[in-house]
Amino acid sequence: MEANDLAVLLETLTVIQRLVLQYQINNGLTDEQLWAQGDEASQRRRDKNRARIEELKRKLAEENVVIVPGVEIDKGPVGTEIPGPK
Amino acid sequence: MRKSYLSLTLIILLLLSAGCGPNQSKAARAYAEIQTNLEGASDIVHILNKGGQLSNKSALSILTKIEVVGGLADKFGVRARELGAITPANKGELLQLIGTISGDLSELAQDGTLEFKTPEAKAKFVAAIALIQTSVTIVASFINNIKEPVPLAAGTFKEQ
Repeated sequence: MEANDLAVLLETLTVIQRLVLQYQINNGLTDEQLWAQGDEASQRRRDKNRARIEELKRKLAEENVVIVPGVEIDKGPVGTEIPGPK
Repeated sequence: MRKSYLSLTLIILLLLSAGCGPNQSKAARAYAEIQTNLEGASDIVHILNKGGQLSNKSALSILTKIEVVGGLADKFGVRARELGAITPANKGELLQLIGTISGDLSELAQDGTLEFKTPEAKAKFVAAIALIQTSVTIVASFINNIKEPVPLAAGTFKEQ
């Protein structure tokens, strides 16, 4: 399966999941259940994003991009000399 | 093209479904929608990145920002339930959190440095952020108009 086909499949599944969750929100959930649904979505997002962020940082390190908290600096081609303090 | 129709249909369905069912408070419903849509936006970013439609650097930047917004949404949910009710006296605190969420989302949607490979990919991302913004706007307007204490969940109402 090509990356693009996989992306289409994943997108379709995401759309279906959103519809199911929205249907649940619209149909008779109590306040307690709504708060709980929000908490569960938050937990899922944090778990998935933690793994995704780690993977992206690893890929960028391989691509030779230095990540500083809040700032991203392109280090340039391998072997480029970075001037130090004078 | 078919994918675009699918996404568009979803957005229309979600917007049409705005409003509350019986026994639902707008705050609880908005919280569920904001969190569900933040998860959805993260999934879309991941899919666009995996499909080669968004650079690794931009995907990392967006997901990191979404986690910041998600942290604020978590704080809103926890604080609202601690309060038990929104009153004219305490609504400012919740409005401040909601305002920060809204500002961060606008910043993200308008970030011109994000590297999308096609206009369609960018449109999908902007639409995902717009869905969250809709819930944020609804709850902000609801809280802003509170003139008397509004309980947030059955059995948890406490006079402030």
